[in-house]
Amino acid sequence: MGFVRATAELLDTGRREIMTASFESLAHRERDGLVAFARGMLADGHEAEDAAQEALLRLYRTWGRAENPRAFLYKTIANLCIDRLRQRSVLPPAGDPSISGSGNAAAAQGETARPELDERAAAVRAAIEELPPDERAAVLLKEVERLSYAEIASTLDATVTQVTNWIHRGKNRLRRKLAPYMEEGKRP
Amino acid sequence: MTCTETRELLVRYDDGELGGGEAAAVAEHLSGCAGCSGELSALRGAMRMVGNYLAGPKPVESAARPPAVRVARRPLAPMLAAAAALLLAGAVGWLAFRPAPAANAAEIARRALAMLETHRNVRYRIEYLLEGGKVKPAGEMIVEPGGRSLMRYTYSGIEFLIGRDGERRWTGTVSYPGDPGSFISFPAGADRDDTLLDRGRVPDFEAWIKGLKEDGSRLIVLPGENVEGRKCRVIRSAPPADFPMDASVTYWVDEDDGSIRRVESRIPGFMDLRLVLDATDVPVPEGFYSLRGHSTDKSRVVELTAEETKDPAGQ
Repeated sequence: MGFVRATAELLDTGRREIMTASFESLAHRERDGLVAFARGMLADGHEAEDAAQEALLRLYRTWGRAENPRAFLYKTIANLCIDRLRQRSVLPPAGDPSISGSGNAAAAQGETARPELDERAAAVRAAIEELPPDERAAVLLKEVERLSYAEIASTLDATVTQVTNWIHRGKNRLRRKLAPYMEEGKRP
Repeated sequence: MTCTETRELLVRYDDGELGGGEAAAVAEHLSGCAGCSGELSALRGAMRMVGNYLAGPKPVESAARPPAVRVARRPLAPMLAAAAALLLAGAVGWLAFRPAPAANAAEIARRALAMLETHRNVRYRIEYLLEGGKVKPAGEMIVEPGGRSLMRYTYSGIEFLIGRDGERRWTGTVSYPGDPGSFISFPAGADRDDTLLDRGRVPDFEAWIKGLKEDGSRLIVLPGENVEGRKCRVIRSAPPADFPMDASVTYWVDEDDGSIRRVESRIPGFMDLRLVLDATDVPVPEGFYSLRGHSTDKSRVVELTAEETKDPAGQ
């Protein structure tokens, strides 16, 4: 029966390799989008990297069982970010070293230290931060991932009507907050 | 449409979430209203700023950026072929896989691809069986009377192509669609039981059962069932007791002509697949298959397509 054992081992090895290879392929494709989404949600480059990593690890643990791995990934990261935002609301804000414009953190992210860029980035960041978590998640899933309202509803366990309202309110808030900076941007 | 109504719909309009009638009404209003058009521009401008901010600064290659999640990665090995073949264990037995060191992958693929000329093939659909009774297409398998076959299916974004040469030997490639450098060819392997490959028929039921038992299978005879109006015997094969995985293969065999109408291969937690007899006397779609890639040790390239068969290193 040694051969049965060998066969089972081959099968098991094959399974692990398929899993690993296919997971890495997806992780490679999705990682930047996850980081961008989390960066918008958390306004913190390092926390965003952490959240993306955590979402990918959670997917890896369930790999092969999720029917739609990408949906799983976005649901997970949306929840992770919303949880972190809620934790923050009971904790003093940590501040964002990556966008503050202070030299070291900006350099660590490869940012050029142009004050005008920092000012606009800070304005966008502040405008996004003012959105309640659900609005923020819905707007970012739309803008980063280009998901449909129905897909966003499924990702956030909400109704399409809720998502429609969140995005309507959220985008209009952003438009109003960012209008002054757009005028500036139009100047040559 | 009034300005107030238009502005209420502007976000949905810009997101492509309005129906045709409403979208047309908004577009018409916008064409004649500078105020609302300006508001749409402002909305789009704000979203561009958000997009630029989210895209973030271009990362520098430095330790500041954590690596993408990586798990210990070994090259995709020939075991993949064994696993793929075993998953469709209707074509092989539980003990069936064994390496065929004398076999030449290029030669097997050449023979498998030679079946492109025949039009008397049997086609099986390959489907995933998902939770809640849902079924999702995975690929197809084409079997010709001499036992040569070509199988193509995807799993978790990976495409498998497996060709069999009619002499119980197989080879194949695995690749990620969209990643042209990812082709990896399997070296050759061999089957012991290629009953299904003989044009999808069991010519001698008793001999087939005997063969399965000799292969170490535990067999369960289930009540007969009708499959698409054909009366079928149903046989479930489970691996030997010391097989360390939970798995089963169930066959629906036509009582009249011995054709295998359906096969379900279940490995819980990994992959549940079903083969469904789809059509007979079919040609292989031209240009549908190609088997190419490099050997697992990357020492040679094997490229085999319907049009030509070449092996630059000569093997």
